Amino acid sequence: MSALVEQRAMEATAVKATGRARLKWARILRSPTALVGLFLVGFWVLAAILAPVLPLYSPTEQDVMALADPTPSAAHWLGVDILGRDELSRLIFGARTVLVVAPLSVAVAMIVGITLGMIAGYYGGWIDAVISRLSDIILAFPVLVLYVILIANIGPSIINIVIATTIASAPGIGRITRGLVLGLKEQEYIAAARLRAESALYIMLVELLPNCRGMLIVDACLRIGYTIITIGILGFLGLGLPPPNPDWGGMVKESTTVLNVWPLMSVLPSIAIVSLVLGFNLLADGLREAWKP
Amino acid sequence: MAIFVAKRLAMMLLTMVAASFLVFAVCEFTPGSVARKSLGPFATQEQVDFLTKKLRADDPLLVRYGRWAGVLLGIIPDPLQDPSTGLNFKDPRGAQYFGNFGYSTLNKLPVNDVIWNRLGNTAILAGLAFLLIVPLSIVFGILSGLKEGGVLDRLLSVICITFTSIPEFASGVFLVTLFVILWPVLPGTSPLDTEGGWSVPSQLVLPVAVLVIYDFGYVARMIRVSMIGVMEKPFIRTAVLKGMSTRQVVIGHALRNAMIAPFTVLLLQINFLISGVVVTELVFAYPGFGRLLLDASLFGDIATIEAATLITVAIAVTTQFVGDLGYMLLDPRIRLR
Repeated sequence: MSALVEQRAMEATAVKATGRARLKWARILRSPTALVGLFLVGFWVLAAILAPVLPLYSPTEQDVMALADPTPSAAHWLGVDILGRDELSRLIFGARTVLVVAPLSVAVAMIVGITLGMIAGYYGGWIDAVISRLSDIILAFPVLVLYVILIANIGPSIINIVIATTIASAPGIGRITRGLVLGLKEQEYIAAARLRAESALYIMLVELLPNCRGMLIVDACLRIGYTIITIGILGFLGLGLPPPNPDWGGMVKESTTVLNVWPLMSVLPSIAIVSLVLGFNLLADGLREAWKP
Repeated sequence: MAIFVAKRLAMMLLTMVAASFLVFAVCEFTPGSVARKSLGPFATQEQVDFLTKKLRADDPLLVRYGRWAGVLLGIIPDPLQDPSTGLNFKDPRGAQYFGNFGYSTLNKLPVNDVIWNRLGNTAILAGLAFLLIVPLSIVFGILSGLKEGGVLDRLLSVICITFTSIPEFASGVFLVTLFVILWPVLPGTSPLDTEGGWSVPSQLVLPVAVLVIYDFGYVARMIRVSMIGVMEKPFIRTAVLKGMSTRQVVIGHALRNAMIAPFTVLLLQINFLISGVVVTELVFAYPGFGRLLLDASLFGDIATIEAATLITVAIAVTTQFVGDLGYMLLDPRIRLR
């Protein structure tokens, strides 16, 4: 009899645990802002994945005849750019670039930043002091100035954008992680883990990291949005990925010379950037609201 | 208090030294490039080698950084102004004085002749933007923070998030399309002279608008979070239970407390605006500091990059310092500790 009760209780807690995880995600789906964000991001991710199989022109193919009237037509739904390349195709292939580079950059920056923040917060003392002071120095730079100086000197490429993003955002991520760890360090389960003589690495990865997860996911979402803006800005400044890679910021830059005549060429890639960044920002907001403790 | 200030000042100085060294290391990664940049692309390799030797530009990085710092502090004369280099670079202030940022290879002028004027133009732009960002974000932040999750909160939050998602070059394109091309009421470039037939104030409208659009939403969100925190405090509940009207509670109790944390955020926006002006100035051809820095970075004009970095970092650490001091003065709990 008592065994049965015990089994029931165990089943109940199991249901509760999976139920809670499901509820956490379900709450996101009930938030309209998160849904809109999910839709915007999903739209571009889908477009980027399907780009090679969609019936599109090549993003680098020039249609010289279309240059006579580069506005939208039956052949080119969104028109062509100043070199006669199909605008729609360049927008969709541009999404591929940005959706690879931005999450990749943020992932690397998160790994570096979380590691530094964990170490600083967990060990404290002089290790914390060194990491925090170094972060302060980098954070004292206006971010874009840092990007411009770095990229102008090491040259624009995907790897270099990842490096620049890591240098620019790891200190901020580290600072957030450190703050979270300082709060969690005094919890009883950490003391318990220490008493069990768990290694520092175990405590950091198994006890601390999962408890920082929510805030860090929200932060990553915001940072992806911000990195997309930065990649756009670098492209706009002429420091973006080398041509003929379609790159939204570069597309805006190329077409601003003809803004007076064909504003659509600049407006479309601008809308593309805004919609994708808005998607990530709304998603971050929805996640934060849904996961509020 | 005095110890706190002294400690912070020392830290500020250290940050500036470290930042200037980092920038120097990145820019001067390839030794000898100074000579090539000073002489231009058509100089022969012999001329470049001669100047490199003359300037001792192939010394180790640390030595060259020390020399740059020496020139800045007025301990040694600027080697580029030495007549024997044949460059004919002349600074009316002399070759050796405190605050000598050296010679700009991009503008062929002393950095001090260019940078302060540009900084002044940018200060006008950023200052006007700041004057609009502060009241706008405070109103938005407080209204949405009054009742967390309410209809007004959700509405204002979505507006703020949307605006922060529009980078400066995109809002520049949108605004120019609307107000310069489709409905021509404003100029699309801001060279700050009246030759184009537009008054200087009208030239400032769009650049300031671009800066405000991108930044105010973020600050409003920060103020909202702070306001929500205050509205949950017991003293607010007490005031409401005492029978005070919502207006009295907000103005008398909540506002001052809600403004303590955002004060720092607002000050840090000065730092953020320096980033923002780079793009805005490029979009509107505004003769400011941001564009100078961009041009210098693209050209590799190290003297100008260093000067600009040092000034931006100085502004950043100073605003941080003022933020901390203000924080102490605004919040008696921290002041007494």
